[in-house]
Order: sequence, then C-alpha cells, then structure tokens
Amino acid sequence: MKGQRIGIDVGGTFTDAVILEGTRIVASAKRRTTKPRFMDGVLAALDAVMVGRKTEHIERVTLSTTVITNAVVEHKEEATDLYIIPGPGRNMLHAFPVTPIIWSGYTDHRGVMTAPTIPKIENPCGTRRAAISAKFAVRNPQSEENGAKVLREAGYEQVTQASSLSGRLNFPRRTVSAYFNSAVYGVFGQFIDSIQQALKDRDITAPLYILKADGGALPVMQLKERPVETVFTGPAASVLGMEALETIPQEQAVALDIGGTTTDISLWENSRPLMAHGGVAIREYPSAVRSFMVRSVGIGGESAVRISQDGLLTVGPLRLGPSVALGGSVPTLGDALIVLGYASYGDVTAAKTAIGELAAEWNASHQADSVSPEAIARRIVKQAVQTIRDGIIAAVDEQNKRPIYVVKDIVEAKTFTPTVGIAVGGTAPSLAKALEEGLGIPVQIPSAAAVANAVGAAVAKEIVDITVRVATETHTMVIPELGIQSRTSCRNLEEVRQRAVEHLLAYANTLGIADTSYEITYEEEVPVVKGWQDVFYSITVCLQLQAGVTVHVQAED
Amino acid sequence: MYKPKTEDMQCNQVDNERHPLMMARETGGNENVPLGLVFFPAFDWKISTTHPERPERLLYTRDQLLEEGLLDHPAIREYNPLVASWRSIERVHVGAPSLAAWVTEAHRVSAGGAIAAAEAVMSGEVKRAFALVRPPGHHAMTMVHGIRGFCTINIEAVMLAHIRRHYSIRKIAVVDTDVHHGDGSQDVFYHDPDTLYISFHQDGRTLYPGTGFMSEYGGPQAIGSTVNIPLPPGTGDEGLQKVLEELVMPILEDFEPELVINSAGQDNHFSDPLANMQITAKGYAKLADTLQADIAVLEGGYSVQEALPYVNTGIILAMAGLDYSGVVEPAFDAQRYRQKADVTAYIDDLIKQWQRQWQQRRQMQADYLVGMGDYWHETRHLYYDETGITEHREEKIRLYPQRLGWHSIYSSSQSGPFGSQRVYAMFIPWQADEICRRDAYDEALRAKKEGKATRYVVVDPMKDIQEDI
Repeated sequence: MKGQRIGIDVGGTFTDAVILEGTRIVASAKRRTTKPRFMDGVLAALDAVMVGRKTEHIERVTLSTTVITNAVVEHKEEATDLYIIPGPGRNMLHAFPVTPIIWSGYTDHRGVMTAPTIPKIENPCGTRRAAISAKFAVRNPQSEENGAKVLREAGYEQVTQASSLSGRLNFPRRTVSAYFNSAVYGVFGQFIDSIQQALKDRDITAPLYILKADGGALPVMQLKERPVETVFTGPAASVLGMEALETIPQEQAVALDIGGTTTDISLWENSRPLMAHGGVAIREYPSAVRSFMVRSVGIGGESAVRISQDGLLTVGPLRLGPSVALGGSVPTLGDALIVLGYASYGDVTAAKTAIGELAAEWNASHQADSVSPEAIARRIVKQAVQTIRDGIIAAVDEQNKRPIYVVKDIVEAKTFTPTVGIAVGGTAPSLAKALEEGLGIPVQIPSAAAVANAVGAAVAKEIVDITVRVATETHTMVIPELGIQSRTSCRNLEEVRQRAVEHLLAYANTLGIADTSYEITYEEEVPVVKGWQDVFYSITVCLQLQAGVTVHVQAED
Repeated sequence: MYKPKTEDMQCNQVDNERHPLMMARETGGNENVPLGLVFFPAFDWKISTTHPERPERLLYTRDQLLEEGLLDHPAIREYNPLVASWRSIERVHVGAPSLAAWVTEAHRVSAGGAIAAAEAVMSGEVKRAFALVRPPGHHAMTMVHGIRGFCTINIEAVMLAHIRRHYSIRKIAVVDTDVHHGDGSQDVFYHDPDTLYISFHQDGRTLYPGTGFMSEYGGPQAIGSTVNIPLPPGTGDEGLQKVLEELVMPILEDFEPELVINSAGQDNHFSDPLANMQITAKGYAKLADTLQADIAVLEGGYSVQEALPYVNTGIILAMAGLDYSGVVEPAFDAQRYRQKADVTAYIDDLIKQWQRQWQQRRQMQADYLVGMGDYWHETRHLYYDETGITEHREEKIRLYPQRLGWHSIYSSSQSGPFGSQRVYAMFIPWQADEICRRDAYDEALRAKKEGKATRYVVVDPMKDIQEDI
C-alpha cells in the first residue's frame, strides 16, 4: 500500500530512520552517525527500515541532514566573494565572515535609489562563487539584481542575491545568509547527487525532501538555490518530533531535549513551538535563516564533571567520552545520577568509584574530609539543573523582549510565562525530580519515541514564506523572495493581504505544493502623510504556508 | 543604592510576585553592555492624523535600525518600555482638573520607556541608555492643563524623580539638544540647585515657544542652574560643536554631575520642517560622543524621512562606542549647509557672554537674595497651543537662609474642555527636611483658608505623596 513516509535524522551520535504509515510508526532503526562520510550512516539506517518493504509504497523521503551544518561549523565552506552595497550608516567592514567588496550607491528606506551603483569586479578569492547584498534591497531589489547580472556576466557561476533569501529588514543578516548560501552551494550540490544516486540504486522513486531550519521541508531540487536554509535542522527535527508525538500540553511550556552533550530548550504555546526573532546564528554571525526558538546549553547526560585548579566544580560544557559507567574515563552527570540512584545502567560500581574519587579530590583541594560522594553527586546535579535553568530564563527573557511598537502591545502585554516543563531524551527521566525542584514548575516526561527526530523529519510540512510590502503613495509592491517589484492598485491592508495570498499560493503551486492553507505571521499598516494632508499607507504582510506537522503520530510503546 | 519599589517598576511585563523562570531585573546580567536601547515608536498614537506627532514619525527610524542590524549588535541591548505608574507621574505633575483627564496610556508608556532606560543604567547592566520613545515631554510643565508643544507630561522629569526617589543621586545635569527651548523642563527644574538644566536651541525670537533666553538662569534658590543658549538660525555642526566644547562641557565640568541626561531632540537637523538649523546626522552623533550622556531621551524631530533614520542611527552608534563616520544623509549637501560667517561670529560672541555669566553665577545668587525677605513671588501666563488655553499662575517660594524652601503655584485657566480650573499646588522639594515639610503643609492649609482654588494639592516626591488637602 502507498502512503508510507520515511524520516531520517542525522544526529551527532546516532542517525535514526523511521517509516510512518498514517499515524503509526511501522519501522524504526538507529545507527551510528558516520564521519566524515555521513551518507554511510544514512544509508545504513535507511536500509535497516526498508528491510522487507516495498519501495513503491514509499510516498516521500525526508532527510534532516547535517551536511550544511558540518560544512559551516567546520569552516569547510567554499571561497566566496561577497559584494555589498551598504551606503551610509554602520561600518560593515568587519561584520561578515570575509572582508566584503564594497560597491558605491544607495537605496534608502523608501526604496528610492539615491545614488547609483558602479559595479567593479575584484574577484579577490579567485572563486566562481559570489553573493551580493544591498541595504534596503527588500524595498527595491534593483541594485542587487543589476549587480548579480554584472557578476554573472563577469564569470561567476553562482551568485546569491540576498533579498531573494529573505524579504525582511536586516541587511547584515541577509548578507550573512547570502554569503553562506553561496559558500555551501557546491557542498549541497554534491550531496544531492550522491543521495539521489543512492535512492536510485535502491529503486526508491519517491520524492526526496530536505528539512529546513524553520521546520518546513521542500523537495531537494527546490533547495538547490537556497541550501543555507537546511542548516541546523537537528533542533527543528527534535521540535517537530515533539509536536508530532503530542507531547506538549496547551499551556505555555518549556521543552527540554536532553542529549549527551547539550540540552536544547524550546518554548511552546498552544502546543505549537515558538519561532526565533531573527534567525539562526551561523558560527557567530546572525543570519536571516528562520528557525524555531531553540537555545542550547552545554549540559547533557555525558557532560564531563571536573574540579578546576582553583577548586571549582564544573559540569559541562564539554563531553570527554562516555560516562564511566559505560566505560569512559571522566565522570559525568550520568555517573552522578547513578550514584544518587536516579539512574541505573552500565557499571554502577565504576560510576560510584569515579564519583568517590571526585569527592576525595574535592576534599583535598578544600582541606575538608566531610564531603561524601553522594553530596558531590547532589552538587553536580544541582549545578547541571542551574545551567539549564539559566538557559530557560534567557530564552524566556528573549521571548518577552519582543519589539513593542504599539501602546496596546505593552498595556495588554502577552508575557510568556512557562507553567510546565517537558523533558525528553535519555537522561530526562533520571533528571526529572531535580529539574522540578530547580525550575519550580512541574516537569513531565512523555513516553516519547526513541526516534522522535526522525519522526519530526517525516511529518514536516511544506513551508515557504514571502514578505509583501506596498507603498500606496507610489503604488509599488515588492515581494523580494519572488523577485517581484510591480505597480499595484492595492490601497489597504485587506487588499494587500488578498494579493499576498494569491502570490504565495501561486508560488507554492510552481513548487508542486498542493497545500493551500496559510498563516499570516506579521502585519503592519502605518498611515503616511504627504504635504501635511494627503494620507497614504505603508503596508507589510508576512505570510507562509501553514506551519505544523502533517499528522500526529502515536508514540511507540 | 537601594532596590526600586515594585510600584514604579510595575508593568504588565513583570508581575509583583515573580515567576521562578522570569528574569529578575537585578540579575539581568552584569556584562555591562555599552548601550541599552528602549525603542517604542507608538505606531498607534497621534495628536491628529496629519499632525507632526503622528504614527509615521518613527516608522523610518524603525526601518533603518532594523536594516542596519543594530539590535543584533553585541554592544547594544534592547529593553522593553514599562508603563509608568501614576505615582511616578504624580511626583512631578498636578493636573487640572486631574492627570487622568489628560494623560493617556501612550504617555505612561513613553515615560515608562525613559524609566526603563534609567533602570538599565542604574542597575549597572549597561553603561548608557537611549530611550527612543514618543510622545515627547519637554514642553510639559508641572501643572497640566492640556497639551503644550505636543507634550503632556515631562518624561525626563518623571524619570529624574524616579531616579532621585530610588537612588542616592544628588547632582544631575539635563542637556536639552532639541531645537525648541524646553520650557517645560525649565519650569520643572527651575528652582532646583542640584539639577542643572542646559538647553541650546534656536533663538526664541524666531521659534516656538519664544522663551529660553540668557536672562532665564534659575529661580531665587537656584541661580545659574538653568543655562539657556539661544542659537541663531543657520547654526551648523561647526557652531554646535564649538558651543559644546567651549561652553557646555566646561560648565558640566564645574557642576560635577553624577548623572548626565540628554533630552535628545532631533529638530536642529537641516531638513526639519519646523525649524531653521543646519545640523547633520553626523553632527548629532558627534554631539552624543562629546556629551557622553548616561541616559538620552528622544524629544522632538519632525523630518521623519530625511533626518530621523540617520540621526538616530548616528546617536545609537556614538552612544554604543561604535564608528559613526559613515552616517551621512542622502540629502546632505556640504556646500548648501555650510554655516555662514555671521552665524559663526554671533555664536562666538554668545559663548563669551555665557562664559562671563557662568563665572559670575555665585555672586549673582548672593546678590539676588539681598533684601528679598522670606518669600519670593511671581505671576506668569502660559499658553497651551494644542489645547488653546492660557494658564494664569501665581507662584511663591519660601526662602530660608540654610535650607531649600517649598514652591507653591496657584494655577487657573478658562475655556478649556473641562471649563474653568482653579488649582493650588504645593511642591515640596526633593531635598526637603522636616521643617520645610511642616511649613509647606501650614502654608497650603493657609491658602486653603483663603479659598481661591477648588483643589488644594500637596506634592512630596520623596515620600511618594500627592494628596488633596
């Protein structure tokens, strides 16, 4: 029977695969992530779930891949020439991963070109890849478009135009997105070739989808020109998995995915994950790549516990191999949980010995002899919970520090106040009690699937988003993501909204997406006065195909 | 320094009983970020649709700040505004017929924005802060009979009273760089020797509100604590910088303030439709860089497209210690906006006059009080341009040899929307001791016996009291 969906998630340690049939998980597999040839692990997991199954039953394969993440984290991106048209303002010379080539010219906040651009090809990296970004190109993409044309004519094979990746205001973020997009273009192309060959070898003809950081998934060829959007999809897969498995209650909640090295913190409302304000940071550079609001802290089941030279106990952020109970050499948070009786796996005696040695070391450096291994273990757990708590507080603070533009938003401020915590991941059950005490809210441990991330990939919806801006004074409409700049007769928010929906659905249609449900993520209509009496409007509508998951999945027993 | 009372911090952001996972202000981090920014454009507040104070005013500034990515910069931390409590407003203002009749939620958020900026600085979370908020406030005086010069309550004054009430700060300097004389701020601070109010502005003979001359230099107990520098139309960056370096900065050095506040109006800009000066965005940035104010609060500035996006970018970069040399308005023309020679000569002369007057301030103070007796009286008329009414005032100050005395205002107006108003307000200075307080209440009760007013109000800001007697 048709209608099976495969989800594959490449994690730091394991690569998981599932097959969903309707709301049921009918097959799942967990394999070691292989480095550097991560495809080996992907195919091993895929082959494991496909055992005894017919390829023609597969309707879609969705992959949450680390290919782009690894490329940028390990500085393995290709040399890329970055051309910018910043005009007057902040000094942008050191704002990007490479020193940009600065072109003259300026487009102001209204989209009026106030000074022309005189392109000058420099090609400092001797590369065929380039990115171009102009300030306020989202108000008028002309200078970027012209620039891209000149760059292509000069021999660049691949040129990313920043405003086509994001229609939102934020020149440095768009520029960072554009740079990395070009810089990983080749890596992504090779990846597409190898995975498509692998699927072909297996007679899997179902379309291949790739998960994006915003929790959407698109057919792989649609992402060929926008590979940067597939960066950091691990947290997105985790969040989607939780949503699909209906593990998060309706109230404002904080979810913790506690892994081996890190805990990913996400915030939830009405059982839906909240989105981040700006976008993901790629290395230390904030980008315009949209994502869920996920904050990582360096605490996991295998966080190393050490006593520093000045006698301070540290938990994480490093992982120095597995817990002692599992054959490691450095005691971990997991070992402490074993000592306290919250967990029981591996070599319990070895864990106790290791924590005992830690206690002796502590006593030696503090000229004390009274601190027991249990007391040290309690201290380790308390410290770990404290770090998680600080991360949650920072996430909640960030959420509540939303821009406030109207009186109503502050007088009737909607403050995010989590009233319940949900913890998933291997260490979650043993840490639950300490989390409840430390966080001051109830903490639930759902019986989540061991392959929740792969489930998340399998149920990802097709999401594309656009930003529509209309200035009624000049009758202009700009949709940067679609390269549209046209005259419009729209005169109010309602008309712009209608037009925006038409454009979004037409765009989705060209991508072969049948879904016609959408959601408006931001709207603004500000009256603009000319000559002290004529009133026009500046209107912005951001909308996307309805986010969420395709189905809710029954948790495995 | 002691902790702020929850009352003043009250807003819908933070409940009095703190949730365990909400950030406590005091633990907001001690990284000491260079600049805290409160940005509140009030897209839903206007005086009227086509008024200069309309929703559009900070729209392009918002666009520019977002596009420049300034809110992502590690040197800048954003803060939400608060809703200022009524109590914090009542430390400064008495309304006729009441504050509630005139003060809207927008005003409370704007004042709360200034308070949030002050808290960010006072708690040590940031080195400086900029409250980029509207509605503005520097034309609002102690008595509120309506709207004056787009202002209803004085947001800097409310912020200052908050700081004085919650932190042990004595000497504060307010430098008002709006093109219009801040007659409201002058009114609030005029009798306080510990608050130095410096305003440079386009000469009152050529611009609203028509005040702010050298001869207004502080009340009988505070001679020299008001410094008005009326500049000629056509003053450019050159003249402004000279006034700063040769006059404002040396005066600040002499005064030794613990805090410097900048009422950062932006209408000295060459493109401003309501004034005639020639300052550029970079000139404003240089001003901010020279002044190194602890807290800046936006005031006027109505060239919403040509000036504000660039001026605000410049001020933010300068206050955050970042490079502002690239901030140039597309409309700038160096030739056209060059300061003329006669303007330069006029400014040079004005600086000399003020340097002389500043040196003589102590003698002037001593001379002023000779033969004055125990009381000082004055009668004035004040016009509320938005509301179209005139306030008539009879002011009185108790002069003591060794302590600061109370200040009373009998204030009346006709023909406003609430009919004829007759309000008597007794302002107890923040430095007051118990003798001053006792005498103030005695005087207020005596005035009540006279019976000229319909309301008698005593304001004691350090005790959080505003009461009808």
